[in-house]
Amino acid sequence: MEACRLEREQDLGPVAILAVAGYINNEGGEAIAAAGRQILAEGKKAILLDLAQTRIINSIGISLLLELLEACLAAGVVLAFCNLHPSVAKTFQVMGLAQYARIFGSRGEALEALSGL
Amino acid sequence: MITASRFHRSCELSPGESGEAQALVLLEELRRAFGLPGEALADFRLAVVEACLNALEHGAPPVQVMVTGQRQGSELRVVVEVVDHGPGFEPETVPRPELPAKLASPRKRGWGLEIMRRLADRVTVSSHPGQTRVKLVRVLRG
Repeated sequence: MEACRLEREQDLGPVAILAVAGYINNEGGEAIAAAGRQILAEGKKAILLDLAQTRIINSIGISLLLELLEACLAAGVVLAFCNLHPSVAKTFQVMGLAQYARIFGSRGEALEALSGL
Repeated sequence: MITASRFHRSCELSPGESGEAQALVLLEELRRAFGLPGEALADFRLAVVEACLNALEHGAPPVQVMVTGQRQGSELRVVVEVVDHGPGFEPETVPRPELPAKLASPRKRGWGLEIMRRLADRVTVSSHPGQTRVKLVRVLRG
């Protein structure tokens, strides 16, 4: 399985963008959570995780994403996801993630909605 | 294309980083053997990963995985069994995770069994001290 890779891309105004590829397991989840904490410290208003290149997130990765979500909620920062593979979308549906995080079909849709924050 | 009518492979998972990935190699072999499209078992893969993670984390070695596929008419039945030799558990006592409660709790784990139940067509757990067997079934039609 392809190891998780994470790249912080150019911010768009108040939105920080993290492109994630590969298997989100404990290591991948920790890397995302650490990058997210860094962004929170910068005072951004939204963190967008683009999961176009991610096919699978295991339950350890999920728990680490929830730690980031908890921190975002506490800071009043929007955590958003886009480009979900159907199996990732189903995983998020099982969790009920859409109650607390924003989910968009594409990066363009996400940035259009979030850049005005 | 000539495809199989029956498939059976097994392996023993190595503990350590991504031991669960070994089970997915077998599932991928099955997919190819039956000539299934690339995403045919996408959801089911995560159910298999979670069964393996539970066995590796909470069970004891050896952790064995058996992957079986059988085509009957237009139906393909895929069965993955994960067996460990740990202390066992009572699946009915495992609470169903709720996101609001998880967000409020320092313990954010505990999604594995729920994911298995929701992403496989059928999940059977038989567990007693010394052996836990999780059986996941996916039926593909057409």
